[in-house]
Amino acid sequence: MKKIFLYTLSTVLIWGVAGCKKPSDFGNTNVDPAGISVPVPSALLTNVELTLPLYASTQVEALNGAQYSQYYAETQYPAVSLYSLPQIAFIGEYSGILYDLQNIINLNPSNNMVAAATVLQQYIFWHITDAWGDVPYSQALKGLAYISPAYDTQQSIYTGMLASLTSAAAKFDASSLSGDVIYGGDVTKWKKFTNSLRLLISLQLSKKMPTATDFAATQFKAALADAGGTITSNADNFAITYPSGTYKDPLFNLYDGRSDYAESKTMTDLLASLGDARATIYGGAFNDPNNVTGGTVSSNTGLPPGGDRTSTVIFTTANPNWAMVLRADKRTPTSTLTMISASESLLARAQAISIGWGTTDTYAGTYGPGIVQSFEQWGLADPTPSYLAGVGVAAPTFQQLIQQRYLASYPDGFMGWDIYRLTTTSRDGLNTGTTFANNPLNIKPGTGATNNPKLIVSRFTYTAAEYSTNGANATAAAARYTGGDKQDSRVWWDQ
Amino acid sequence: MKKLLLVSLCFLWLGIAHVFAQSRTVTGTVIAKEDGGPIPGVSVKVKGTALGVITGADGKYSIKVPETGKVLVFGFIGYGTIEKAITGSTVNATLEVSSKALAEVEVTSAFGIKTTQRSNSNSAQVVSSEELNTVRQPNINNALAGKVAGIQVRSQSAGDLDRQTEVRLRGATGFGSGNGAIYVVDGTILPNSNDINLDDIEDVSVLQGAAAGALFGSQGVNGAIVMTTKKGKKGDGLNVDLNLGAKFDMAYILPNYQNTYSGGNNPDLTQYVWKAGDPTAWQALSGKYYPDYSDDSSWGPKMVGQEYIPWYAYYPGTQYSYKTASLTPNPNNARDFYQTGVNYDNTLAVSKASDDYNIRFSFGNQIVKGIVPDQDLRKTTLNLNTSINLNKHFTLAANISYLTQKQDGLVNDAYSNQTSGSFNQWFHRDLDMGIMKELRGLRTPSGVYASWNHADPNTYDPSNPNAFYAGNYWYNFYTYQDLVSQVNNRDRLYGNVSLAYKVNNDLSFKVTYRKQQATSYGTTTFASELASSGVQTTGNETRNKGYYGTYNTYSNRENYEFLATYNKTIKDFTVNVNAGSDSFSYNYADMSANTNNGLSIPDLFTVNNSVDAPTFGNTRQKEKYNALFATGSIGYKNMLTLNGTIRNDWFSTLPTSGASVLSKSIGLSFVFSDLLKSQSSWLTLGKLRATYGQVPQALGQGTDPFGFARYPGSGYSVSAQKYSGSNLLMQTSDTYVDPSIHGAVTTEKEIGADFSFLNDRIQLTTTYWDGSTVDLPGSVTVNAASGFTSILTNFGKITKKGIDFVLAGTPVKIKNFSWTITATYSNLLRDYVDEISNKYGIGTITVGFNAYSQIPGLYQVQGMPWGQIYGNGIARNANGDAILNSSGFYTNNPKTAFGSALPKHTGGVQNSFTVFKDFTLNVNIDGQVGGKFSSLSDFWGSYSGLTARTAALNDKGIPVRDPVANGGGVHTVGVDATTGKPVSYYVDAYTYYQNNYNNKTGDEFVYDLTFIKLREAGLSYRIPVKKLGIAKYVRNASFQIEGTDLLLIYAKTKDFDPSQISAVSGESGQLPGTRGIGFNLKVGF
Repeated sequence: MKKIFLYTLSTVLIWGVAGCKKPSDFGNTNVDPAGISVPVPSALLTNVELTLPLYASTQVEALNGAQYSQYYAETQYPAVSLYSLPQIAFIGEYSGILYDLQNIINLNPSNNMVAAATVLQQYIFWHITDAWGDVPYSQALKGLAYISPAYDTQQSIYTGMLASLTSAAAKFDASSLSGDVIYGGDVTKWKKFTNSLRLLISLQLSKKMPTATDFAATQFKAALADAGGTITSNADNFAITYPSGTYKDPLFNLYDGRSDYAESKTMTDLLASLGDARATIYGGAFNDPNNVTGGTVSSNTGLPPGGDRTSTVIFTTANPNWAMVLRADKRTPTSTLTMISASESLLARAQAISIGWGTTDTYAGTYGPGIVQSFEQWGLADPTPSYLAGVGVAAPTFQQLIQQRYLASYPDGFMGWDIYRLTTTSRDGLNTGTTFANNPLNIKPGTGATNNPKLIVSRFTYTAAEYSTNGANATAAAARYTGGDKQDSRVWWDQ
Repeated sequence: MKKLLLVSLCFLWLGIAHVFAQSRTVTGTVIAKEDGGPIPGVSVKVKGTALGVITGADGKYSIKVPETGKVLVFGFIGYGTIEKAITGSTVNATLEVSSKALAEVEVTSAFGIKTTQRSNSNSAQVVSSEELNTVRQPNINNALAGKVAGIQVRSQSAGDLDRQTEVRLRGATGFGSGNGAIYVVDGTILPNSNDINLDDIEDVSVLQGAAAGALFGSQGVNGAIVMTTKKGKKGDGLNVDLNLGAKFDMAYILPNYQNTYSGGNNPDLTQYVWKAGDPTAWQALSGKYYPDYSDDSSWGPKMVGQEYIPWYAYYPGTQYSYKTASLTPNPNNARDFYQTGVNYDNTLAVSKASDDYNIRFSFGNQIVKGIVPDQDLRKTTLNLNTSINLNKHFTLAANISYLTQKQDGLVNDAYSNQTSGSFNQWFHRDLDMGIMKELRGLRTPSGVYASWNHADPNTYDPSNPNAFYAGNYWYNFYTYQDLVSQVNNRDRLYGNVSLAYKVNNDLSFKVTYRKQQATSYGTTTFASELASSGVQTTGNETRNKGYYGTYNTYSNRENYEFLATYNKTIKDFTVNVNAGSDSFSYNYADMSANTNNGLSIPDLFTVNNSVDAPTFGNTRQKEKYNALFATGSIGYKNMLTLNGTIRNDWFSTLPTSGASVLSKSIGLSFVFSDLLKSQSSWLTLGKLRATYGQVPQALGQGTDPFGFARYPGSGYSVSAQKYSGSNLLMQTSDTYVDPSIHGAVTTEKEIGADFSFLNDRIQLTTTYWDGSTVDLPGSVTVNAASGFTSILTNFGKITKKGIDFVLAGTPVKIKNFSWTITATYSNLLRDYVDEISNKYGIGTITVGFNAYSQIPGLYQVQGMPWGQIYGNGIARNANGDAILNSSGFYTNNPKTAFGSALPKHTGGVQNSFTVFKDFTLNVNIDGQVGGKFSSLSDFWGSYSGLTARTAALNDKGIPVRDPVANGGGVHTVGVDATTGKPVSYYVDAYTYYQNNYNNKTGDEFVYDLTFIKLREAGLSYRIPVKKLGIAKYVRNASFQIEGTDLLLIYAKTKDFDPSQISAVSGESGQLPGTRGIGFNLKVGF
């Protein structure tokens, strides 16, 4: 009997020892079977390109910009339309798609992949710097090398963006470009897009640098002279047509569930005053039974922008045909969302003529075709000669030109806000000043504005998280604004 | 009764029968003074030796006493001890009920290792089954509230069926929302506090601090709640215990609503004028007035009984169709929605034991009907606890629990949910909930479900009538509950099987296999009609488009343990050593699938019926650890005890270079009263103790135990949703993982003193503790402009200290009346974030919000107490004066610190009054002082004009909603933003409350967690089975009327029950606090 006990005891002890023989050897227990350690660059690019259209639609730079520039107005819970404090974080854009693009650049799968990633990064940085002003750029996206990256001045960001775009334009070659769901790897179109982006970015400096010999005009002309060309036809638009299913037009999503935004009365009044056929497209009636699923009932009943909540709710209740942003059949799950269009590119060139940048362009070659491309982009018949005559094709006034740019960029609120800020000095809605400061769009702050004083927002402010994670740099940047880190302070090109 | 209940405690006594030269046999009977009945299980020891026996079922004992033995010591938990001189061969003893004898209580630690309070050097409070269950509580956490010093129980509303509650022991640590203690049942560590039938619990040892937890290794760092289950009792034949309970829960604490103004955003009623195309029947309403239905706020007209068109008048087919009504307040409309919840809780247990075996089997059954209609929970638990002595060396034991549970109904207390999320945030104060219930399921002929939140009649379009009838944001609350279904099924098996080999009285070995397997299965459906019956209802809840989702989970935890135990007494020295190994593996997998964007065929609930591509989830995780441990003590004269523990763990989740971590503790216990015994008769026990422990941790956070794949990170995953069927999508991880990552190290030291006076009539325990946690493994938020949002690395330091007291005693004990009281109090002297990361320049960590990041949330802020409620508040100057802009609005400071989410003082008082022996009244009160939370309900409720403050009187005595010109408005006081001079304004109430949102000033919506509540009260009657002559059949019986959460005696906020705040940061729309009243019948056969 006793032997049995001893055997048992020995077994137990051996088990104990064996169990602890290599106590730290766990093999691959801790490896997640659901992930790989090396990414597929084309998959990163596809993900970015599907996120990118938000920058021209419902991402905060565009959505808030659309309200500040009075493309849109809020229908039921106005806050942004009333200039509530735009204390908004930009850092998610860096760690999100900007770093995905940086990852592609770091992996260096091909010249074209790197060039495309570089161009897309500049498109995003342009939105960020125009919305906030000074932000991290040269030290950004460097990982642990700069965990608190310095804020670059907007001037140096603009210099950097244009330099990066210039070199990217030259880098495109015959190498592979996979995962590109926008241009399908067509390098010719990428070059045109890159150059058009250069035009728009350098034009945004025209208030700060008006002269033909300055940096902005030089860059503009260099882009125009590039052999790759610029976008002049809608076939080359930087745009995406969504396949529906999981991936839908973000403007469809804007109304899929809620109806928080209306086309603003500023827009509908402008369209009406010009007798502009785009009015049939730009506003869709709320009481259209198919206002989400693709109806065709237009509306020109814009919501007065900037009214307080009571007056706004009373207006939409009294006007059940109020205008939603775009007619429903133009924002279906499979609609095309345009980020940079032929019209925007051509009208930018027209503006360069009007400010005397000494390009070789003519209005006949840019302004008229720009308007035509805008109509065609929405599937409309070309504008009638009488319409074109009315908006001054041969020699448009500055106001006409800016109005056309404003109309052509709708519903991209980022562009609307950029155009508005570039062409005004005071944000109180008064028409004063010089060419760049005469409020050609005649945009007035909302009567229900809750900020003080009631000025149209000039920039987003930095968040508390920014001060807590990158305090010294955020504080240094804030000190560079006249008036500090406030929504009424001006970004550099707006000063 | 009390005695019989306490009999169960007898098995905690482990008499150690040494073989000595013995010369005579002494026998006798031990009886209870209270009723003269025999007491089984009384320990009988020969004083000055380790010799001892236990009385049998008849109270008789027989012991062999050596020649040197002069005195016998009789002891029984709950009865104290007495000494009797051995005067002959028969020594009888009579024991008297006393408070528990402090020194004799046994504390259970890891691996079921027990020590007596006398020799224990840690803070460890033991709660008996009786104390735990004075009033039946739904979970162990609620049952412990107020009864243990240093515990903070975060309860949940009874409306939150199956919601996890949480306890904090000694404040909180970590840079998240804090991790609670572990729950241990008979040595098996459970991942949560669910699934324990409190009727199976014999006692609970609450171990606090790193030293007490060191034997658990990494898991024990935040303390442990160690439960021992009931076992069969020897010598009493077959025992059958029946416990039948029913409790009724009612909504108790709701926010204070205004009852002056009706719904809508229009302060005036509008006249309805029938127009061509409108339904003909509406002509009856033409010329009458209606409020704004489509807006879901309550800034509408004053309710003064005026005639108006109610929301339901437009729908055909009811007694209210096309009729007007009077616009009157309905102050109880939200409360009326909640029904009386019912909770049936029954347990049947049978047990039997003899010298060679003991067995106990219990069957528990719980049926709960929630306070929200259509919600219920059914739970069945089975527990089998048995051990068999195979021979004099081997003992085979098994303890197996099985639980099966089904929960039905959508329990949702998040923002914008279709019950409390509406009542508290977006609602019309005039709604009559009785009519709402009456019109449950009302549909228009075209199939749209009627809603109180439909469009205004002027927008009626005959080509699109559904746009009018459908709810703008909200459905009929009752209809909604009928149209959604959420069913969760859970099955769980846990327990252990062990084989012990006792070599001799000194040495034994035990191998144990433990297992916990949990599987769950659930489905959620949202009817397709919700989509056609709503206008913007899918905006906040996309599942309202029609939805089906399902999931399965599988979780398996296994331990293989080896334990060697050695006990030896050599002259004045006693040595106890427990050493062994523990090898753990955890395997988790789940599969889930859900439809997206609606159902192609209405109400066909299958994943394949998804409109867009369905979403699939599939997780696989494995974790392991191996551990070697030893714990031991050396005692001198049972007076001075040195305790020590070491445990080394190797974790699969840590980098190989740092996978080995060592936990250690050392402690000393000194019963100084033994030295004073000759001088003092009043000091029964006086003990000093000191302890030190250090526990390094694994990488675990939240519910996953040790941090699977946090290192080296999860890599790149791929989305199943390909673009156009071919393009893969991939994202870069936002976290960089430091290759030298390791677990935090918690160090804690404590000193304490335990006193017992007048033969345990008064007991006092006090502990002072001081600890720190350093090198917390966490994601340092870095500025995401770097490309990463965070670095997973070690950083930071949190220091804590506190002092705890337990005072227990029997202040009054006279014939036919006694009063016993236990009071606990603890003061969290410090719980402080000393450093987050100077290296990375990180001073704050954002932990979480109540759904919406613009109101203050939970942050960790360097140089401030742990868990700040922090964020957007009112900007103030150096004097603390609010800074106002020239419109009279407060201005924003996004870095406002409102204070810690931790209460500073916690405690409770348990009273038990016994009258005429058979009646006992238990009254348990607990509370806390300090701590903050923020409320999203009040934030939106004020924006929407629902809360009482939006219709209050201002300091001039005029309603704030009256025009400012007429003396109304909210008074804002402060200094001017530019001049700094004192200013004050009256601001229109509507504008003021909407501007709290626009200008991001959240001060008004941060509340205090301070409360005192009558958590439990019970009046029980012991049915005199002897007198009734049924003692033959019924061993004992008692009946109790009881209540839970009976009275919130004091709370700084009157809007919420601060003991039931749903998240550490606060609440997002939580269900009301509840009050339960019930009864309980216990019968033993």
